[in-house]
Amino acid sequence: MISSTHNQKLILMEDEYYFLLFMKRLKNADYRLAFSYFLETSFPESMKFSKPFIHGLETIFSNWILEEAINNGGWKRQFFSIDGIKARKRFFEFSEFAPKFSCELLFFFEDLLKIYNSPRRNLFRPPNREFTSGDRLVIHCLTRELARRDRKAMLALFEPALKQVSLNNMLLQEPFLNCLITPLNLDVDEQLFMDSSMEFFIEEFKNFQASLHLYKQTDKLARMRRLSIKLQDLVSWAHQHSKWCITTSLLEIFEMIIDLDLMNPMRYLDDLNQLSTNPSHVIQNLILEVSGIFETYYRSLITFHKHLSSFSFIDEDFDEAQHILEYFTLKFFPRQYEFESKLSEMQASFQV
Amino acid sequence: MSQTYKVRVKQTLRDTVNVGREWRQKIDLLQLLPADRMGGLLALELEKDGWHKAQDGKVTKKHDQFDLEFDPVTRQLKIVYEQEQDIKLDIDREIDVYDYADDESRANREGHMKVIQEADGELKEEAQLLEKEMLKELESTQEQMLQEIDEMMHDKVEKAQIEALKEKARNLGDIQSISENIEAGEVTIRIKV
Repeated sequence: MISSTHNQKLILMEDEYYFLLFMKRLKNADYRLAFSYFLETSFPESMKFSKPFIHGLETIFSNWILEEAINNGGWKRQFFSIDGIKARKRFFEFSEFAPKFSCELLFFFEDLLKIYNSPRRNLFRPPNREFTSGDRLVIHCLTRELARRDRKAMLALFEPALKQVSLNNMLLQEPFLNCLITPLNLDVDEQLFMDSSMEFFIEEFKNFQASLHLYKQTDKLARMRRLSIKLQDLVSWAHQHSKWCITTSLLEIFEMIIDLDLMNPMRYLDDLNQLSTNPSHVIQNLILEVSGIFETYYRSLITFHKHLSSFSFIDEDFDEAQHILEYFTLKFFPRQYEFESKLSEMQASFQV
Repeated sequence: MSQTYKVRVKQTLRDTVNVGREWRQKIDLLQLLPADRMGGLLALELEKDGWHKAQDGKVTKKHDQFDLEFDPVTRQLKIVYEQEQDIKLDIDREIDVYDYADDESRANREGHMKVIQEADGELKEEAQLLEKEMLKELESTQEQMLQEIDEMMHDKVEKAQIEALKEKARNLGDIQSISENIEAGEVTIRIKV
């Protein structure tokens, strides 16, 4: 818990007011205003804020997390879900969801201020902090907002601090495309949050594919290669480390590959006139490689399904596996034939 | 006061010429078993032939100057040719540099720059020539090599298909006998269902 004190003399009311303003601005993505109009010195010693203020702050943080989840699929999950999963997916109905916050979160904001105010040639290096799950989720929400607003300079500036939260490593769109996904230890709150707010992740994928046409042929291929690594990491993350919360989004990405016409070879060429002339080896290589990325993803989902089907009722994760198998039945198998035929079309289109 | 300086430049310039080309082909396999299993059987056959299995499941081999990589999941064969050669140019030249303000260091700088620019142009020309030569060498061997690789793969594909057939037969019942006529490309399997 964030500690508080009754000794009101130690704290100036205006500092609390300005800190609330700082938080409000951060939440509303007014970063320049937030960082320019709040001083490091306004933090009280050892973060000893008054009790009513702490209560208010905890409510702000909880609401931020809930708002993020609700806006990113928390409600929608009900629509997708089937009996049995329905109650599980409704994030805000969860009685066990009670994020705990610590003083470390306030120190983290102080770190951000220090980074922002330090000279760029000699940036302040934030220390590693022991966050609670609530702290991590607030930082993750802040990072999502930064990514959503495409504040690349800010993200680059705060990267060492933001990377302390493992959830931030799994965002898909650039500039996170280079982030590596390592086996993460998510606690219950974080799993629930991910489970309920995957819409953000899906949006990132949509943005990624929508901006593909802006790049040259070689850059498109480079982006697709990085996407391939990312997708493979996500599948193995779900598969080998039993992170079930990510499965629904993996299947949604599978559907989007079909729906958003990603298996159309023309999307990867610079010049459509190349179609009228004899296709070169370069184009054949390009199309085969991209189709290989989709095929690898598709096969890894099948392998994952096989793995889930092998669970017997004595296995610990049997119930979870059954729910995910139901998702496969709903979202994967009905579209399997369509995916395979589009893949064959893609591979056959430029055979020399 | 102006003056003409004699600037002597002694230097070695280096460059690296890369020639690379890549081919990808989808290996056609009879769909006797699921696609990824067929790819897996072909990978096994290739491993028997000295190919190395990487951590990601792909198998690789160096064939002359060509790097081969087969992905059992996508059943694609990647052939990569990559050659690299270093070239260097030793220069020891003198140049006359006129400086209107009698500034020795400026004349020295200018002299160096002129000589290096000139030599750099020569080095680039040499690099282009070498690149052409390397490409010519590739063109002369490319067809033959690709054909060799094709034949080798064809042979392995046949073996993988026979293995797939045996596996399928085993799934159908007990195998009584297997007779192979490699020359005719025939396999006869008797099974008891």
